[in-house]
Amino acid sequence: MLIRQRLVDRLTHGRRLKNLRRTAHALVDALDLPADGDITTVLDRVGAQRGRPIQLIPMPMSHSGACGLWIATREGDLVFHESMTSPRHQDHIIAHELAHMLCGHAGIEAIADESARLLFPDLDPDLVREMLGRSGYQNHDEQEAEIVATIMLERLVRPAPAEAPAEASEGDDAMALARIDRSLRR
Amino acid sequence: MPDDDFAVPSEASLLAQRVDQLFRMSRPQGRVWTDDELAEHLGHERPDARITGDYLRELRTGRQANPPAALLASLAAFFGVEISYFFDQAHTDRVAYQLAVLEQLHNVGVRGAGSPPHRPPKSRRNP
Repeated sequence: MLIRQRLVDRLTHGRRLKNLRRTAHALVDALDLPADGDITTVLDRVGAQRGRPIQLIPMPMSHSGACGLWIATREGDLVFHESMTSPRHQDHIIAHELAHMLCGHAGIEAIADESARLLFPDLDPDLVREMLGRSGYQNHDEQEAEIVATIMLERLVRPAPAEAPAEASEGDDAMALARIDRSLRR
Repeated sequence: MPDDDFAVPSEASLLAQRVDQLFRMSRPQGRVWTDDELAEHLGHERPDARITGDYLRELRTGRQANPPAALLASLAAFFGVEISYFFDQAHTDRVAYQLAVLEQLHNVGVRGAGSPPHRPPKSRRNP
């Protein structure tokens, strides 16, 4: 009986992961990332999709126990990320935060102590929470964001398996738009 | 010419300024607290201390220069800072800066914030 329950659990878990991956692929597909893009391409695409600017803020964060932090404001999104690590790791941290945005994660629990300590090391995390109000992620959100981030970064190295070949002109347009979008923002 | 134009602030007035700054910049429970409200709040925590709104007002204006250390500790805890905020200018400056940033973040309307763990979390079994 117990063994059977475990098998059922494992199957359910497997199904959930499979669904997560399918959703993650769909979310990344919608960004229509070019194979020669980099993390700024993803940043621009996610920003364009949300219709709000995303600002990267590199800073040393190792003392805080976190390596990335996304703060959504009314005007736009701020992504703080560890600067004292390899460019590859930085890309991953940024991708993870962008993935939270793509997945539509909103804060559910309170801002974690380590996030509060990171930005406000001399203030009581309770005070920070009370002054900002709520927010943070659930474990499930973390897993989802990590899967999306991984797929995002894979996509930058190698293009998605072509199921329906996209029209070349459409891709060019999108790239041109992204370029214009980028130059406008500078 | 009034000579206090060039006067170095005394320790007492520095302390007053620092206490006053907390009242103005820190927002426990998301709001500004008046002297009377805080006196009442602290009174519930430490009824024996008999802190009044008038006393806190005097502390903020420098007329009350030697508050008991226990009161400073209560104020620091209430306003979410360390007690060294009252005595160490570098610490005071850091706290003031962080409270100002917090205020700005509040004003732009923070809707969510979160940080990833170092590693992807282990997948969870259904409980």
